[in-house]
Amino acid sequence: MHTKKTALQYLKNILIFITTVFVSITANAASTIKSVQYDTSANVVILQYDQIPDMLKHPDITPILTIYGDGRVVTHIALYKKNSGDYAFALSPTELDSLIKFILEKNLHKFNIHSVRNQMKTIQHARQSFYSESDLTQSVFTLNVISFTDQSNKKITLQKAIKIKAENIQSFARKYPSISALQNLTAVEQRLQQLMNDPRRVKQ
Amino acid sequence: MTVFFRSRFCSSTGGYNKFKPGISRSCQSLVLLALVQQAQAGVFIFTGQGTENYITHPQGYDRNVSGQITVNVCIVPGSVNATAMQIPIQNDVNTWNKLKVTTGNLISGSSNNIPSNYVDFESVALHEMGHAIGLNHPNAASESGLSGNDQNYTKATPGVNGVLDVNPGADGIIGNSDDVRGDDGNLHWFRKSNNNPFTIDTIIDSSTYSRSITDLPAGQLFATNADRTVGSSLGYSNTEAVMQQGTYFDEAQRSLEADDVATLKLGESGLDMQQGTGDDYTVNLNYLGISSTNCDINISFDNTQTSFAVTQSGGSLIAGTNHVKVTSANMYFNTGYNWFYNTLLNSIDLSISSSIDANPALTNSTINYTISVNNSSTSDAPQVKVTDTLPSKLTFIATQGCAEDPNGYPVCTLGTIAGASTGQYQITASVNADAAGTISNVATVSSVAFDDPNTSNNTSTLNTSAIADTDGDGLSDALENTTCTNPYDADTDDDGLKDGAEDVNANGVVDPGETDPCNADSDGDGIQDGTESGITTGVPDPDGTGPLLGTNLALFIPDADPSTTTDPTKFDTDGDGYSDGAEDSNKNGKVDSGESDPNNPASVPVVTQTSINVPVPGWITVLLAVIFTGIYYRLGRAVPKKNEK
Repeated sequence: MHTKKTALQYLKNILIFITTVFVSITANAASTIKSVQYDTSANVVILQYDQIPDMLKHPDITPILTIYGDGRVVTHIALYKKNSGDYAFALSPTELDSLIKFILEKNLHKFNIHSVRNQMKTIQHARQSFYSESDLTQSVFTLNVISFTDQSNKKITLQKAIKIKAENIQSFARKYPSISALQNLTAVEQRLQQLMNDPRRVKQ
Repeated sequence: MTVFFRSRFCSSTGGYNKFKPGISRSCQSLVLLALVQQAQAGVFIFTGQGTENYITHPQGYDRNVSGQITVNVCIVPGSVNATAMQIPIQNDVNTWNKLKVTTGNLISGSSNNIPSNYVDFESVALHEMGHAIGLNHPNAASESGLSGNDQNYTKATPGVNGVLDVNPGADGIIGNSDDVRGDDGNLHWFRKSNNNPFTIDTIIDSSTYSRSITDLPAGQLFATNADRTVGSSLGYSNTEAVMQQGTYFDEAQRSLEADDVATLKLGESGLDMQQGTGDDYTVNLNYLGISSTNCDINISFDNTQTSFAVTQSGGSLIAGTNHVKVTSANMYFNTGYNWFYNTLLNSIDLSISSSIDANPALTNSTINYTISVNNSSTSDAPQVKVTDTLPSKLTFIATQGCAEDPNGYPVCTLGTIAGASTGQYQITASVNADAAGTISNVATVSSVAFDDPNTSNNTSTLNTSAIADTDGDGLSDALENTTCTNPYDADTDDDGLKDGAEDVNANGVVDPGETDPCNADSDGDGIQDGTESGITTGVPDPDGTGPLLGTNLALFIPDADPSTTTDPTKFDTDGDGYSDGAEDSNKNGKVDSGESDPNNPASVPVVTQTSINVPVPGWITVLLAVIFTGIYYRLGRAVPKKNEK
């Protein structure tokens, strides 16, 4: 009995390993962005990120993070938050390129809420239990790039700005670790949140 | 049993776009959360589309157990702000346990203690705690996909048309009973008798509350939502259900509204939803402090879980029923906000005690009660008041230590008593002439700012013996009947001092330092005791023209200069060799022209030719007399008398 269990565990570990390697390889192969094109004007918004708490009435409507085409990064912290005010710093063109590539590598432009819905529904169905999250916070991402080239040199042109809204992304990502779209969106959100705390930022 | 929820929000048929152009993007995200949250819930969490009848019970609920359910509430050890959360969380626990309905539970601006641009942690946590014990938003809220004020429509599910029908009706007020909701399915349990969520029934079960629109009062169209705007329209200003989603910064909402209480109590009616039957229960939240042991609700700051505040709850179906019980609950908050942590407990054990400066007390005397209120908590206790109506045997004179001084009677406002400290005040009263016997004084402490979990120590009763003192001179009749003083004359010796002011310790003996109540000039210096003591008016006649007596003003010499006094127990106050009366020759207590100062040893009477007011000690006088007598006799023999000349 003990031998059987060990063998099963061994097989299971091998399967997990193979799956992990496969996912890793395919993910890398599909997400590498070779180049990206966007308007580098100082007055063009390339990226916006906002968080809207459902529980807080009349929140400040200014997005908490705005990145312009010239690399200027403006962080807005509402009056009712700590260290309120506007902060700014500039990303170099390389840094901005890298950031946008990262976001595209995480397939923000492919985020499909219906696909995520189906996956979560399936998981919830299997769990046979109730789960509730009240008073969520809505994350809103807006990405405004013209086009990008993927690893296969295929140029993908975006017709309009990409806007994605989702609630409690990071929390749901933990609850549903197998849903890669949630993991990717979490990675994007965390990267942007790091940017908001960049040590170069200066209060305006 | 497999529990499956399917969202019809934002369906492929177009969803809200019919009513809310441009909302399609948010519909995407709505679907995301709806599937996880079963978001089309009513007032109970876990209630979803197709399962509207679910009633959710708190953790610890069991179909076979009635009585009290204890839900342990913990602050997660190591959490940021763990210490700061303690008082607000204790307050929230107490508020949910109390289930007290408060009209006007929204406190804004300068009426609360929240600094500008701060969010009240206690208020938000009170809402989240409601989720943790099974309650959901009574309003459509954000999970409905509606935006702005439309989120204040009453919670409902879309009907066959697949969308929420939102029309505020003739009054234009969203959430009111005339809302035109089309084929929406109401999810809000309303009071059948009046559909007024700002009121509450004495019986709360399915006989008095319903979700069925057919049970609405005649002429009403939909269940009313306990939103502040609706409340104002119904005459309940500044009132809103705590479970209504949405809080404002700078606003406090720390007490429950009728809809909150009714919803929880509806669950407490048990599986049969009939109040008074064997499966009824009550919920008791039990605050365990910063702990990780035996916790049902865990509270912490975790920025990875929320960007503001969230409650994550798990639940399980009670087999064979349409009831669900919560199996886990975690409340999370984000550190990024200016959170205000209330430092005032809303449950403080105050205790009161009282003492008196005279026991036994004499009738016709003045007594002082000292009322002490102790706050044993670590928090300030605001708005503390003491009520002391005084027994009929006493007549109020004044208070000292109250906001209303000197008129802190019968209610004295002590205000805020700091944690681990005591507040005091004094009541001065006179003992009525007929008060002989027992005087029982009752003082009660209270505060509207918090609950006192132990009211057994909120009342102090002090019994005092009152002894007859007919003339009110401070000496009992019984004593005066055995001494030289007159029990019917407050100033027996008419020196301007009450007998009791002379026999200070009321023992019937002239002790050192006391004057003699039977001798107007105790030290024999020629000046009356009262005059020496600065008395100007004497002792008033206690009963006017009645049989009792005060100072006989025909005998008493008032002090003409009460700013200076001499010692009525000393013959020569300044020790200059002259009696006080010798210096104050007219005995009026004032240093008049030509008099010396009896308080100044350098000031002595002036010697004149006609007087022998030479400051010569008595023994010298005697010695001189002896000498002169001897000389006289000797000279008398040697020198012939003049007439013998």
